[in-house]
This record gives sequence, C-alpha cells and structure tokens, in this order.
Amino acid sequence: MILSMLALLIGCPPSTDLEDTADTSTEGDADTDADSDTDADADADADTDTDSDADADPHSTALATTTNYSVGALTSFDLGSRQSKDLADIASDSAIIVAGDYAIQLGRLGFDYVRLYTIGDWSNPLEFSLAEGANPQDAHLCGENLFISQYGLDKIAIYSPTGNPVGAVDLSSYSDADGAPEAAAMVQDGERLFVALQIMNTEDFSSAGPGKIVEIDCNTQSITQDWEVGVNPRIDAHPEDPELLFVRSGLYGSPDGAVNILNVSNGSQELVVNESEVGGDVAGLVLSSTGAALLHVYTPSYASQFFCVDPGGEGLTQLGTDMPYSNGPWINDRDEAWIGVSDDWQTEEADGGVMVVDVNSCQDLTSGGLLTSTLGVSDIAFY
Amino acid sequence: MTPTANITSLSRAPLRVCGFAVALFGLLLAPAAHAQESEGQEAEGQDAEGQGSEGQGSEGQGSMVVRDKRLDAPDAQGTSAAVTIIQVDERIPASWDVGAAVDSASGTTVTRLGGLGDFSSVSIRGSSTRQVQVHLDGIPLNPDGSSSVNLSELPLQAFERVEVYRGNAPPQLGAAPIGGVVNLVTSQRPGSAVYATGGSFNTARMGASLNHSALDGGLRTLVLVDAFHTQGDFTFFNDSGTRYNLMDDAIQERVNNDTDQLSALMRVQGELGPWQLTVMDTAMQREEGLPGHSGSRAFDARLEGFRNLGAVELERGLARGRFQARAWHQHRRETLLDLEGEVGAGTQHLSTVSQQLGVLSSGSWVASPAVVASLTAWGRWDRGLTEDWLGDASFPLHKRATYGAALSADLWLLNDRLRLTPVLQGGVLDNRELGLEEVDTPEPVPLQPSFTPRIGALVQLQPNLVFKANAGRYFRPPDFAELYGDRGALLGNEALRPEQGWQADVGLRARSPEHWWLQGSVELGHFWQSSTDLITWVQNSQRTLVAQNIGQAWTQGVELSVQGDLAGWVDLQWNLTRMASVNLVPDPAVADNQLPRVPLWELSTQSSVHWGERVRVGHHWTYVAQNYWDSTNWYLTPPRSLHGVFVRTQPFEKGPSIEASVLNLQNRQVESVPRNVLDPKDPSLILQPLTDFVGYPLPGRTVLLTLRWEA
Repeated sequence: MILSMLALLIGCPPSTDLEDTADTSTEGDADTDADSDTDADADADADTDTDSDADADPHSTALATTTNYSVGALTSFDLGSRQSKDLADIASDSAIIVAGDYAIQLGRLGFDYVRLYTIGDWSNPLEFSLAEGANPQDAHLCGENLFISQYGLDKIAIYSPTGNPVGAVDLSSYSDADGAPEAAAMVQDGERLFVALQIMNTEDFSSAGPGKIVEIDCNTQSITQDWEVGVNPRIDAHPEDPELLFVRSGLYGSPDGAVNILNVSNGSQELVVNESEVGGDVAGLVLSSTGAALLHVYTPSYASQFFCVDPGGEGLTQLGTDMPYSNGPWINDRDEAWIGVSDDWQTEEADGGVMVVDVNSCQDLTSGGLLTSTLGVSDIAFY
Repeated sequence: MTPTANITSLSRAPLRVCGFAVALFGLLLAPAAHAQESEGQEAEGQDAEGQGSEGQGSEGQGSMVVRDKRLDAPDAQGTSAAVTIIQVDERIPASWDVGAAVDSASGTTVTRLGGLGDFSSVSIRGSSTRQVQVHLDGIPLNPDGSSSVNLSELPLQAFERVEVYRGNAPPQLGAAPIGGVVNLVTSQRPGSAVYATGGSFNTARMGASLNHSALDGGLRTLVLVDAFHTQGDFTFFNDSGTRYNLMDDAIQERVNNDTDQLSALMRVQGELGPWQLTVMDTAMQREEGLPGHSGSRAFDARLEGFRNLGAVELERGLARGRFQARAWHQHRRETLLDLEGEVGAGTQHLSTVSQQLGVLSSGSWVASPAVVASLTAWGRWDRGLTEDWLGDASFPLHKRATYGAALSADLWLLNDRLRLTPVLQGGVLDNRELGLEEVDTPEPVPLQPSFTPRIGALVQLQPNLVFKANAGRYFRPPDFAELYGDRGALLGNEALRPEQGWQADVGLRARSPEHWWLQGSVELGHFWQSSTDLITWVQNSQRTLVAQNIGQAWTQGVELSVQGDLAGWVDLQWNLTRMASVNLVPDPAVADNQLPRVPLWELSTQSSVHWGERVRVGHHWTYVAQNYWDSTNWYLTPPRSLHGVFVRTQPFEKGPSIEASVLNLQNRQVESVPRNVLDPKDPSLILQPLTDFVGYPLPGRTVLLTLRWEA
C-alpha cells in the first residue's frame, strides 16, 4: 500500500520551481492544514496556505501564529537568521494565511474576527468581526473579495477588501442536525474555491455523514458542483495539477481514515494510503518541489511521527523518533518543512520549538536546537 | 500557673473555630473558672477584631458559659494564626454578599464573573481559588480544593461572621490548604428578622430568619429562608473582539445572565444530658443563565444546581478535656444545558452528581497545666458521576476516600508568655476505586500519603502586644476533573501528583488598652509561600488541555490590618496588602514573571459613622493596583478603585430599618489599555470593559434599597 502511495505521489510531475506552478494555481505551495488536530474539538483543520503569485519574491519569512492557549501572538521567523520576533498580540486560537502583500489572521473559536495586515505593518490592520459563533477556519482573496469559511455557521462569508460584508455562499443544504456543515479548509484555483465540509456532529465530534467537497465560483458566489468524500475531510492543494486535491479523511484519534486524491474534473478518487497502514491519523502532508514528501502521523498514544517519502518511491523513513504532539508540517519555497513541536507534556523533559526539515534530503536542519519563540507555534505561512 | 489560668488562656484560642473546643472546658471546671472565663470573655468581646460578641448574658449562667463560648469569634490576639474575622452585623451594608465580605479581609482577592448572583470565588495571598477551602460551621464545602466554591451561592444573612484564615488554619478543621480557609459561621444571635432588597438590574432578595431559644436555652433553633433573583442585565462595553476596529464598539446589555436561587438553612441545638447535639441541614436550589464570554455570547445555555448539606454533631465535656464528633453528607447536582454549543466544545446536556460523606472527631486533653493536647481524625468518601443526556457518552463512577489525623498541642511556656502550637497532620488518599477512563495514561498512585506538619508561635511581648509566627507544609490533591477531564476540551491526567507548598508568616499585633477612647487593633505581618507541583492545564493539541504538574511559584507580601471603634461613633476596618510573586516555571514565556492576578498593592477599607443605630452612614473602598491577567505578563490591568456607600436608619432598637446602598459608586465600566501590547512603539490606547476575568464584564453603578424588620 505504501508503494501505491509512493507511486501516486511520484506520479505527480515533480516541480522544480513552485512559482512556476502558480500559473495554474494560486496555491503557491503544497502546505497542509494549519492545525493537525487530533482531538475532537470544534476547530476544524484550516488550510492556511500561502496564496502566492507567479511573481512573488522568494520566501524570506515565516509568519506564525503562536499561542499558549491563554494568549497568542503573531510571530515572525527570519528564514536566514532563524530568529523570531513577536509582532502583535492576537487571539490565542488563530490561523494565518498569506495572500500576496497581505497576511490574513483569523481569530477562531470564541473570537470570530478577521485581521488583514499589510505585510510589514503590524500595528494597523483592517479588522472586522464575524457573526457570533462563526469560528472562521480559512480565508482566501478570490475575485474581488475575501471568502471566509465558518465552522459554526452554514455559510461562507464574503467581505470586501475594506471589511464590508458583500454576500455569502449558502451551505444550508449540506447542514447536518447541528445546523452547520462545518466548513473548514479551502483551496483556491484562480477564481474558484474548493471547500471541505466536514459534516460533523458537534455534540461529540462524531461523523454526521460523509464529508463533502464543494466548488464555489467566486464571481457568481455560488456552488457549482460537489463531491462526496470520506468522513471529516481536510484538503490540500496538489502542487502541480489544479484539478487534483489531496483529501485526508477519518475521525480524530483513530486510524480509520485515508488519504485520497480527488480529481475535480471527473470526480474520480484514488486511494493514496489508509491510516491503518501508517498506524495513526494522517495529520499533515507536504510535498517538495522534487516530489519528496513529509508525512505527519499522529498515533493513538498522543505521539507525532514524521515520515519522509523520497521521490524515488523506495519507501518511508521515519524522521527521528516519536515526538510530543506537533503541528504541521508547513513547507516553504526552499523545500523546508516547518514543524511546531510542543513541550513534552507527558514526561516534562523536552522543550518545544520549531523543527525545520529539508524534505528532499530528510535532514533535520535544527538538530542543534529547535527554533524558539515566546509561545508555541500553531500555524505558519511564508512570504 | 493553674489549670484555671490555662483554660482561660485556651478560651481565647482561635483554634476553637469550630465553636466547640473551649466551651466545654469551662463547663467542666470549678465555678471559679467559670467566673474567670466570663471575665476574660468580656474582655475578648471587646477585643476580638474590635467587634464585640453578641447575644451574651440572656441565658442562665451555666448554659451561658457554654453557649457564649460558641458565640465567641476566634481571638486574633490570642492565636498565632493570621485570621481576620468579619462580623456580619450592622457595620456592613445589606447589599453585600459573602464575596464582598470575604473581599474586605486582609490578603484576599475575590474574582467575580459579573454582578450580584454571578459566580465569585476567593484566593488568599495569591493562591489559586482551589487552594482555598471554604467551610460552613467547620464542614468543608470543597474538601481538598475539589472545586472553587461559588460564594454567591451562600446567603450572607445566614451567617454571624466570616473567619478568614490565611495560611495556618486550626487542625480541628481537618484541612491544610495552601491558600487558607474561609469558615462561615451560622448565626447564634437570638431574634427574628424579615428583609427585602430590590434594585438595579431587577435584583431582588427577600428572606426571613428566626433564631429562637426555648427550654431555658436548652433548645435553640435557627431557621433561615432566602430567595434571590437578578436579571443581571447590566450594560457593558463590548468591542466585539476587535481591538483595531472602533466602529463596531457598542454598549450592550448582558443577556442570559439571570439567576434564581432559593436557600434554606435549619439548625437545631439541644442538650442531651452531658451532650450537646446539633443537627443542621442547608439546601440550595439555583437556576441561572450562562452568558458566556462577552465576545461570544451565549443566549440559551443554562445551568441548574442543587446542593444539600446535612450534618449532625455531638460534643461533651470530659473530666480533663472535651470530645466532639461530627458527621455530614453533602449532595450536589449540576445540570448543564447547552444545546447550541455556546459555552463549551459541542452541544452538551450533562448532569454531574457529586456526593460526600464525612466524619470528623476531635478530642482535647489537659495533660498538664502547660499542655493541652488534641487529636482530630477524619474520614471522607467522595463520589462523582457525570451523565450525558444527549449522547451515548458514558462516564465511570469516580470514588475516592480520604483519611487523616492531626495531633496538636497547645504549649504554654515562659510563664505563659510563649504559646506554641505544633501540629502533626497526615493523611492518605485512597485512589483504589477511582474509576479509570479509557485513556493511555499511567495508573494513579493507589494510596497517596500526605504529611502536612506545621507550627505556630505566639509571644506576649507586652500586655497588648503579641508577636506571631507560623510555618507549615500544605497540599492539595488533584480533583476528579483534573484526574479525568470529563468535558470534550479537557483531558484528565491520572498520574497527577498533589500540589504542595510551604508557607510561613510572622507578624506583630497590638490592641488598644481597654480604657482608651479608641478601641481597636493594628496587625502587621509578612508572609512567604512557595508552591510546587502546581496543577495547571496545558495544551495537548488545539483546544484540548491536559492537566499536569508543572507549576512552581513563590509569593510573599506584607499585610497591614487596622480596625477600630472611635469613641463609639466611627467603626473602621482597613486592610492593606503588598504582594510580590515569581513564576518559577522554566518555560521562557513565563519564567520569572509575576503570577497572574497578584497585584502589588491591594487595599480594602470599610468605614462607617453612626449615631447609635438610628443612623449609620458607611463607605467601602477597594483599590487593586495594576496586575497581569496572563502568565506571560503581556496584559496589564490598570489600577482599579471602586467605592460604595450606604446609609441606613433604624428609628428604634428593634423594628424596621431602611437602607440605601450603592455599589460601584463612580459607575466605572471601562479601563484603557495598550492596543498592541507587543509593540512598544504603538502608543494607541483602547478601551476594554472592567472585568475580573476576561470576557466577563462587571456591572456599573448598582443601587439597592433594603427594608428590614427585626424583632
């Protein structure tokens, strides 16, 4: 099965320059869900990727949301010096998306706001609140407007770049008994958006039915088609083919799901790997420009495992040993995967920080010490 | 030194906080001893925090000695313990609740989630609220810090006084909390009263009490019924959670913040031969809305609660001591209804039932003229069960037993100038029937021992000047929620170790000579406490918290307490506390930081001028210096100064009275704070609502009118 996964991964024409791919996809890199949750909570995985364009400068900065779950900060890491700097205080449960010259920060469950920072100016964001209980998960500048997925409501909110509500995409026909279809990660391709609807029972975060992927036309602000996928789907862009989406499904805490590739042009789905084969939840997946991949597996015993998948399809190699709960990975245009490693709450021995991995060589670039920030990393985007 | 002298000294001891330790000694001794005690008590009636005992002398002498001793507040001058006694009498406004009374004591910080009727809890000397035990007539309402007691559930009118022990608490309470003990003592004052209060935010309270004595004092009955309602619909400033967008700021009304509560208390005390029997039962039914965080309001979430506490107590005097035994049962049920998933992770309809059966016995023995030994032993059986009424989630029944004993002594040395009170206290937590969750965590320790020795010293420097010192070890075991975490976002950790701490304090206390026109006392003390293995909730993943032992901290401070009665015209009680704290957790985000909610300065004053009781005008003021609300020390709450006033008139000694009182006189509802705490170059300030706990605004000016009839 692993070989079939590798074959599929390698089957993707390797990219040598992610910026080249932006001609067909505004998803600049194949980064994965912002939070690789393994718990049954109200926060869906958000696709907080970087919307880069073809003329974007090489990445120089990692922009992270950091938190100790009491307070939060917007924190930058210089990719050269690896030094961090806290820029602004934000909601302790936040997501970050970079879109061109803007950084979009979402205050999620219980905060329900959006800040639109102009990169470099961290004290004067455009800010507006969403409806109470919105629990925003992901946002994209699509067409002329900002589209925001809301886990707690049955609509995609649409705001003008000046922060005025200009419409919504009705998702009520997909709602389950709790009144919302749990819209989570979004992937953008030009002026269409793909949205993962997790269809969860928010009483206990069990599945309320198969997940859905819907396609939204940003111009008409309407749904154009949908596909049924596995339960609790989380989606990632394919680095090469905008018609393909990586779909990770399965409930948190049990290896019952799978990674599939959905072809949105014909609706076909191909299995990449079952979670049972890797022994846990597939919490994250990134691909480098050469076709190498890094897979994050969260085990039932609360450990994170990372596996390198080489472009040659020779197999999986675990990166180091089991680690405490980790976030990510997120990948930049240097093919560096960034991983937020928590303190080891079970043994109280390890300090947290950011691990940086060269995906192509499967080398830990921070073996001499994790990158540090005041608070722990919960989400990263690059610019 | 004679045994009589010893007993007289002993009668001053606050260790008799349960109300029983000394009384029977007096009963057992010769008439001369009775006489001496009465004299001593007379003096103490004046000196005990300057607030004289009430209701003395109306009964026959034999029973008077017994009962009056029960009435006595602990004598702060005669004990090493750092104790403040708040008398619930005419000196405080009728608008106060238990939280306000406790907040007026030295070293306490009361956190409120709103106005009258909303959740409030107390910390002492910078402790967590779980490190404070609250007792009702000596019975623990939250044994071992099993939860933070909601002070708003307790009707202040039921109590005669509130005793606040900072640190070292009497061993007869069977407790060794890190912060201290608040002991609420039910009223012994004879008489009856009816009262009704109404005012802002549709707040109303009414009730009646009867404290009756029959059979020549051999049978005493207290009955109290108290009903409370508030709509809690005060206005507050809401920035809609957007610090940079001022256009959406608004004044909004707090919704779903109503509370209805009915409380009843009955206590019967009688003489059965040499025994004194006390039977008490108190019940509370409460239903309230949970308004949620102001930035994410809850419109439908409700919480319903019921609590019943029944207790039986027997005590009698022995030839050279006394014996006391007590048994109680507490039943508490809480039902959370949150069908919209407004206040937690997901929709919830959970019912949690906790029960506690406890026994405690205590005996004292006059071993020699200079030694009185005491042995207190207790056992307690706790059980808790949560039921999910919505889904199929099942929770195991949790059971735990606790056994403990305290061997203590009162030693008079150096011609009674030095009194030492060593306490050897230990216990065992029996975790063998805890009920395990299906989580992959280490097994709990089956039998968890604890050893909490402490010692107090009182040195009589001058007739009216004493030196006090205390040192001891304290602990708090993890509670069921910390062990199991029964809510979606909380994961328990069955391997948790108890929190442990050391505490020490020294102080000087002086009281005025009896013939002075100024009657009162001044107490100046310094305390230091260190805690390890503090249980904190740490994120395990997004929105999931796990309890673990990582906290270490120390706190020290200086406490100044002044209380007095100026020529019978002015009553005052002022407390000033200066605290410093350091977080010893190695995490660089919080290392060496100030602990949250531990202000550098805290001042509480309560003053009133009166002409007899015909007219009394009072003022109370709390000042809290700036303090951080987060462990990273990013968010600094500005200094806060709140005033309240009341005026009362009571034309006759008994009969009707009317009182008008105002809380938050200046109507303070907002405070200004930096917009971006991480950018020192950003000078912008923004407004935020006045809160004790972020997201839970406090009300502005609150006006209440109270009518009361005493007979």
